[in-house]
Amino acid sequence: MSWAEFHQESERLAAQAQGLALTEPDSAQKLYVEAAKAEASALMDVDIFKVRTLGITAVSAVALWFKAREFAEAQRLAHRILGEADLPVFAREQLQVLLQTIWSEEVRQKADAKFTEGAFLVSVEGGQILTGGAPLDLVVSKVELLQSIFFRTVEFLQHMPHRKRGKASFDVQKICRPWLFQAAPGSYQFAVAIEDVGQGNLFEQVATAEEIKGTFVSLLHDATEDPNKSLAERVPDKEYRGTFLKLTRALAPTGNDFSVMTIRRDALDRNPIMLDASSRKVMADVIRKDFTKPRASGETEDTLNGTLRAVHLDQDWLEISVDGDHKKVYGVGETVDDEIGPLMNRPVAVRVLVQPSGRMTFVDIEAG
Amino acid sequence: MMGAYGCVIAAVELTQGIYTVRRAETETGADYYVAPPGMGIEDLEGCFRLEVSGMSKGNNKAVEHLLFSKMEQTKRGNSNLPAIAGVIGFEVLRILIEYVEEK
Repeated sequence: MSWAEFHQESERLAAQAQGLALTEPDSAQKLYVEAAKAEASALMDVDIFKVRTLGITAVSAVALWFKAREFAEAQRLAHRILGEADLPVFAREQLQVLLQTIWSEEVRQKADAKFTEGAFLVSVEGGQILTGGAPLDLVVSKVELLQSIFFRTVEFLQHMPHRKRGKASFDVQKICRPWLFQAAPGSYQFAVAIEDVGQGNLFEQVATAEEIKGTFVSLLHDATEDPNKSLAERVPDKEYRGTFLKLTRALAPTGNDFSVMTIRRDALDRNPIMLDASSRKVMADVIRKDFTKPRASGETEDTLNGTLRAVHLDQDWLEISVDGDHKKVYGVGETVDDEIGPLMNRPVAVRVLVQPSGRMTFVDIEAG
Repeated sequence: MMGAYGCVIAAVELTQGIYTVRRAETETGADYYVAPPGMGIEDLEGCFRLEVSGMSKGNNKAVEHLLFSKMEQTKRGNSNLPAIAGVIGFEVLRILIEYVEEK
């Protein structure tokens, strides 16, 4: 048989396996094994001067062994090809990513705690990001934001009142815990797995860990792709919707730190959520239209660019230092802790309405 | 998502005269390869990789933004080019197709 015949056989088996993956996973796994064998045979038959075909087939064979959950076989083949063949750059990189993905999956399988199936993968690239490295403060701030959105998702699904102050309660945190795992560094990546803790809670748990994970990702998707319609349908409560939108906007890049954040529902996600400058603008436009105070007669709009120095949400003000001059802005009481807390002592842009008396009232805040 | 693939594949055939000939597995799913008639039988050397995305809701501007994002995603960190990006907006019944060139 030729490359074409082996590859065609592999395509047929893989397509069958994909069709059965959800309903008959054991049958799907066996089909993936057969597909991997066929593709490995195709790989042996490739003309070595057909470099692109060689690279694509190599990645395909290793990916099929991975999908067949035959991690040892996948690693063996990947290492052999990387060591022997003259591969194009894209294939070399994809094989290295596959190896890292396999190692991460093996680690999660060995972990004591029970995780929902798979993990969602978060990556940042561009700007200051290196392959496998990123500024620590950037990573920490994005991880904390994701955790905030995650716990808000739990509260939303539990039909709890919208929380304005403080962190999520211990009972909420106990329902499901997000974990960080190392992920394959195509850029800088980390994986978030959800631990299904849900035992001995003080209140009845409405949603499963799987449902929480699904809603969390759907919320991010709707806020990014269609904040006007889809998000409004999924989150009818305006306070919750505004908070999800503002926290998701905060995930997107503002300057030169990075250019895009990609969130994959799992390793096989073909349609990831992508947060970049243009999606930030889409969300900002919706926030401006639906979630900020309208300008009253006599008021002018302004933006203060400086460093956030103080916040007192109960007394309803914040203080921003603009070129050494401290300016107080009132009317911040409706802003939630999750949104404004991470911005303390950081560059910010605060939109305000200036009254004829000079008093400034808060409209919106973003990282500068 | 399979609906998006079917629609974009059909649109590429009708508008560009090139056909889906092969599929190859990747870490995140599978890539489809398209080629003019007569090509893509014995190898993948002359094929275009097809990148597809779809959105069930969203206006024309959102679909255009999706195409732009898809093209940037296709160019970024992956030199398995040449490629074609195709996106579909089901609410506005619009398909956009663009060839992706190497930087």
